[in-house]
Amino acid sequence: MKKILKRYGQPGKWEVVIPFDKEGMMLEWTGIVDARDPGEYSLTVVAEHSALHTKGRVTIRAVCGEKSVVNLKGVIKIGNEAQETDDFLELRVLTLGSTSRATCSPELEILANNVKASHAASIGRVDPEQVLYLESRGLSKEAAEDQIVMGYLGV
Amino acid sequence: MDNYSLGFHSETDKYQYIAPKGLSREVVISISNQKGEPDWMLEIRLAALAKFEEMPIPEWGADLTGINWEDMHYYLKSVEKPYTNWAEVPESVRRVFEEIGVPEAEREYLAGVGGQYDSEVIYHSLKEALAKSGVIFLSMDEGLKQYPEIVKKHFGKIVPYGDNKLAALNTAVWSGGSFVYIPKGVVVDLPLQAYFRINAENAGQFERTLIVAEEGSSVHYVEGCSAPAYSSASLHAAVVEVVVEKEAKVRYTTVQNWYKNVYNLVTKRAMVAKDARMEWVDCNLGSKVTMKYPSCILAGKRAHGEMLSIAVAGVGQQLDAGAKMIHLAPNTTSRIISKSISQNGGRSSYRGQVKITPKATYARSKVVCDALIMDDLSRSDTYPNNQIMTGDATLEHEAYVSKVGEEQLLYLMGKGMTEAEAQTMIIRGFLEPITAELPLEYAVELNRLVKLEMVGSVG
Repeated sequence: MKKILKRYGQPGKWEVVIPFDKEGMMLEWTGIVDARDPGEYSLTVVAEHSALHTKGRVTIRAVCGEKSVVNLKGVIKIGNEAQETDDFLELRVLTLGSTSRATCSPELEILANNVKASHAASIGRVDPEQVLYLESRGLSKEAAEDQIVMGYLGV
Repeated sequence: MDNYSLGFHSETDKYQYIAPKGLSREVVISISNQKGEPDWMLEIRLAALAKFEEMPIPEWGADLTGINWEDMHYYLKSVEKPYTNWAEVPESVRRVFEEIGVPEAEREYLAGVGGQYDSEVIYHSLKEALAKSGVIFLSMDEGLKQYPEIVKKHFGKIVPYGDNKLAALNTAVWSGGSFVYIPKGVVVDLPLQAYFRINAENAGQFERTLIVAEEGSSVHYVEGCSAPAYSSASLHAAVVEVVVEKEAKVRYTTVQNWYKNVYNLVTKRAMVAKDARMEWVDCNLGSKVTMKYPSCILAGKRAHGEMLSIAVAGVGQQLDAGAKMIHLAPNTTSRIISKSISQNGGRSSYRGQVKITPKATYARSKVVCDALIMDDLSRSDTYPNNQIMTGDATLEHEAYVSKVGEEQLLYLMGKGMTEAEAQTMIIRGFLEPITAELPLEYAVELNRLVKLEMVGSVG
């Protein structure tokens, strides 16, 4: 499957429309929002299916630091003619501080019946068990969190 | 709609009072006078009317342009006061409830029953043992007469009339509904049931329900709704307020089966205190348009809110339902499970909001929306909004939309089932997590209704 990776590291507002308009088209789209610097980061991704038998995988991963605001919106639109669509949308936000704020709006608009469309979203802290594990290997708490964030963002 | 078994209607010339069509100050004053209400209630009604006229018709969600606001009766009075014995209820009205099976259900498994016919509650009863322990289950009108202090304390506090246009309308012309009060520590084992019926054509039903569950108490309230098969639209705009005090538990179950010309626009909200629990179980099968988003305001530490919903949208129906969970305190938890089926050109939407405010540290929320879409005429949407204002909270959301799995069908057909049987079984399984939560009689009824709804698409 064709892959696209986008990174967003500065505060800002972005809108991405991914057209699935060719029969049999397959695409994996990943957006990384690194919001460790304070500011407002808003990303909207719309996967628009208008052709037969397309397949999409849309993932947004965000890290939200102290005093950062992350607004993620993902939409899967499947038109009446886009039968046999298979799409999955994933929105993940990792919050680092108690002043981190995040909004997730995963939306589905489905007008065809022979399709598979699903989404998942989660917002949460770094798993304290993972931090403890790394701390027991001699890392400081900050270093442990940094390692986990790096792994999460895939950098 | 050939298979709507509740579509009969009884004569409408037996009413004691029918308000003229349309809404005006005079209509509101006349309703209040007929009910002999205290002045403060009339003041609230008039203020709400002014607000209603000022607020615009909501433009989001479902299309409401089909409502003819002027061509509607806002108040219909069928009998003088609620009866407590079925034998006393006028024949024409009693027949309706007997058809629906209400008196039978009351004898067998209910702790109390209320029946509303158009604007007025016509029947109300409560088991003696419960009445002795201080439980109150009355029509809202009687509640206001007998316990004005309790009503005044809570009326419009959780859903103020400025909340939305339909809440303003309800506050202005409300009539009937239930008033339930459960004293401290009292556990009501059997469900309390209310049955709502719109009988007249071009009528609006605006019941107002208030449930107060004191500290450590527990109650299950069930409501059912139906209407005759008329061609022109009726309107049902209810407001439900639930106060769940410390450590109390309230479950509110709705089986909505309005005829397919009813606009069902309802505001339901609960205020949930420390260690208390509120559960909404919401089954939407009927109506032309439903817009309903029961909410929990989780105001005390460790409060829990839950929403289990089913929507089955068929031809010409738009069911826009969902839930709202507002987390205000630390360690609050919420769960939303929504299941919808769209078929024959029906449209069902999940629209929900989870808001975790900065003070709600370590709050947790989980949202699951599953949808089945039966044919290419139908439509299914999911519009969740999840706002997390503190970094210490956890939220999970998942949803999928699909058709009935071919592999599952083939597997069951391989075991000797027909395709229709296999589909029915898969759909039952799909709804099972929610039907399992209903009282048995309702679960059976719901399965039957879903089956009726899906004649043609499933066996």
